[in-house]
Amino acid sequence: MTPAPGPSFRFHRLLPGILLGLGLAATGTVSLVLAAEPPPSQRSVLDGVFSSAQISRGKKGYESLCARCHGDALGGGEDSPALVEADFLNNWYGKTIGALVEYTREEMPSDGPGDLTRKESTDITAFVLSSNDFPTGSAELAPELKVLNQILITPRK
Amino acid sequence: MSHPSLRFLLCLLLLPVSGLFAQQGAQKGEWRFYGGDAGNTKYSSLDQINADNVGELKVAWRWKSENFGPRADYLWEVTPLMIDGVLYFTAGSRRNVVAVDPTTGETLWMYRIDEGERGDRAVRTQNRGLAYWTDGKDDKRIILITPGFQLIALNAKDGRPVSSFGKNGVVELTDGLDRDVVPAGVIGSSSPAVVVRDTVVVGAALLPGTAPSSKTNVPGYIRGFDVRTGKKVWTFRTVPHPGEEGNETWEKDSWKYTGNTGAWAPLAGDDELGYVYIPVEAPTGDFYGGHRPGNNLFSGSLVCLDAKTGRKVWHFQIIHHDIWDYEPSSPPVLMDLTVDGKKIKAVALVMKMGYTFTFNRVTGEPVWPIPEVPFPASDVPGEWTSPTQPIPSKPAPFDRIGITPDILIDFTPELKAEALKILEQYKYGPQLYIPPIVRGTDGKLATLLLPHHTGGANWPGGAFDPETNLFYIASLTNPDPMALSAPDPRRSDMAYVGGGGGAAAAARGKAGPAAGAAKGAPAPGAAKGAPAPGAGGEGAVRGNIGPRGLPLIKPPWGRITAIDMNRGEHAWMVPNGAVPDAVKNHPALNGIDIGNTGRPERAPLMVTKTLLFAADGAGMFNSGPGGGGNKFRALDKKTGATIHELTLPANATGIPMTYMVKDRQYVIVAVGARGYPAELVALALP
Repeated sequence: MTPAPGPSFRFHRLLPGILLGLGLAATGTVSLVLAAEPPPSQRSVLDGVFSSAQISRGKKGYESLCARCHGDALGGGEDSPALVEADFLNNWYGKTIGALVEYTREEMPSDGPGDLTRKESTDITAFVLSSNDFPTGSAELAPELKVLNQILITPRK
Repeated sequence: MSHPSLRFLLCLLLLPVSGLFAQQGAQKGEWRFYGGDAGNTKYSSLDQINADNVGELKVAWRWKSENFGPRADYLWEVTPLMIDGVLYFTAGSRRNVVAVDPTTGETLWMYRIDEGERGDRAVRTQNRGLAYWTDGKDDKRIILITPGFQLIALNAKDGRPVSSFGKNGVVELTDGLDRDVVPAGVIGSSSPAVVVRDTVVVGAALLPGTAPSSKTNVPGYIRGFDVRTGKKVWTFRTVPHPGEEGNETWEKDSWKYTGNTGAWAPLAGDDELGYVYIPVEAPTGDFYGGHRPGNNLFSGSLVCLDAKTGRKVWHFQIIHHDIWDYEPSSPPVLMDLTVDGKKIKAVALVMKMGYTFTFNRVTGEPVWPIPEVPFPASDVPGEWTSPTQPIPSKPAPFDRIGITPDILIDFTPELKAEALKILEQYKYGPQLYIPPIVRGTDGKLATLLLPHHTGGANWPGGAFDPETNLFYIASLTNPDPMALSAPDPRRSDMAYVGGGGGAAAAARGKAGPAAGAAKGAPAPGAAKGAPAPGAGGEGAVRGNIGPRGLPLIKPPWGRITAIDMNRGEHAWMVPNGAVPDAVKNHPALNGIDIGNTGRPERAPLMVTKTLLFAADGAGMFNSGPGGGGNKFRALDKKTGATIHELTLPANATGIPMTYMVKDRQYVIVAVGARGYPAELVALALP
């Protein structure tokens, strides 16, 4: 394994993603993603875990907080990464929605992070996931880590 | 020459010569313009703080922005004004205007406008400051451009809107842009307006254009407003209509829908000539121009307008048909030069590409030849490439341009070998203007550009000393993997949009976004409230693409270059900032002395009669990994040597300024860091 400066630090907190993390660091590819088989009880982002009302709230949040760097079409901008398609998803497959919600809450906006509430971050995450064509359901995605940490981000079939 | 009468005689002899030029720099201990003077020299003739006593600089007061605006601001790019014994600045994401006692930091008044959705969705929340105008008598006005793109004139005495200006002090800036609807969150400005004589000139900023949702956007026209009434006097169409000069450079009717092409960097003005100098940015689609064939005038240009009428005096297109986002992004600097014995009223523009473009500011004639040089054509379907680009013969570039194997890091033979292997994943070359490839072309991840499109110089620009004609320029060195891909048509009608080509994502996969250790000092979660101020910011979250998370390119990664503008020759260059923590503590470099590398961020620069002031810089946006820090420095103007270094409460995020009130000279700098809400720090001698 290449001793990159710290692929593993945060992965301790992101146990579901650890296999992916090691896989990425070792090979630079994502071919091992599917090795992270979710436990049977776990839900995934394919199960319609957020609502359309939540997506509209998240869209508003995205437009006021995220679009100026990540672009109005989520395609990235300046040196902010795209939040759609492979550039984004390959980083998150195998991790949980909870990890993405908390990453967003703690690290974004990157010039002034730490002000988002978990609800705001959950809504924005729902919008971003919906923009990646994950299905909308009828229920809201609850902003509770215990729940969010149980929902895996897995590739669309 | 010590005889007093001889000295007097000499002064008399010199007077008419120096009288040819208006006095440059901030005058009378004030700071009336964002850039010190309307020519952005960032120079003050104050000298109370000097090489002998600068070591005694102490914090005199601090002003905290935390509760200005609904969210705390961390990246405060502001430079205050100091006029008639009052300090004025913008603060917070709503860009509140604040007047402060410059000796104590006490708030005197503040102005706040809640713009609702248009403010919430502002394309730029950064704020750099204000403009000022006076009729020379009692009418004194502070001019604000709001986040939601309205122009507001306030009475400098009490902060109340000037009722005779626009509608109760407010002028709508989204009108007159040749679009039926200009929705919220499309256009704004981060830089202040500039006032030339009695005209307020306003530029524009739009959403970043790496991966736009459409080839159609709002054009960032330049407008002039009567400073007394707020009435719009003129519009300069940066994307010209039929019958206007340059329209033919927008082939296939692309002038009809192409937008952007604003001027988001600070503008410059020359009151004596009555001219304004506009650095015009790239058109829509930073990296793909297939929807706008042609040279795309006046994008990528330095444009000189008559401030009273908006009539174009001259222009020079620095980048034809920009597909690299190398657009003009720094404030034009006005300088009065003596070149080969000839006096020239000049304007210089430092660029992301590392070049300094220098013109006679009256005629637009290059001070040194700027020949058109051939460059390769793009092979991207539908793209149009200019066969040539202008390249200045002088001064030499102030940063690395182009990539060859010998500029890769070689701290150890192993690292060099790994760096070579990484480089071969990219299309690269020794020259500028290699067109971005479609991701995967010839098995390559991306085109590797150097400088980065956020590298070289940028909005911090430089500082110019009108007494020595030394021009101090801050720049950063960071390679840029850039590739095009066809976007999902539901998200964009562009044929191609830019991105890291998977390369940046691959690097991030190794070193971020979920890799806390790459951040250096702050532990994961620390961003909530306790990251060590001065730790690298956003740049540090992003991975380097070099071996084992190290930079790919040799240091220096951030530098200050001094150029003698009379000769067009470099005087000195120093790396800026200590070795980034993540590099210093890297296991592969154990026991290896890698020297003084500087940090990949631009130093905010300000120059006085006695000293050049610099800092590590913010390191939060458009910097390289590990950029930024909390050190503030006074440098020797002649050599770049550090005379004194002090630690600020957080990273310097704005350009410093200085003034003198009650016989005390103050240096003010805005600071902030991830998790450290922005504040102003006033430094003075005890």
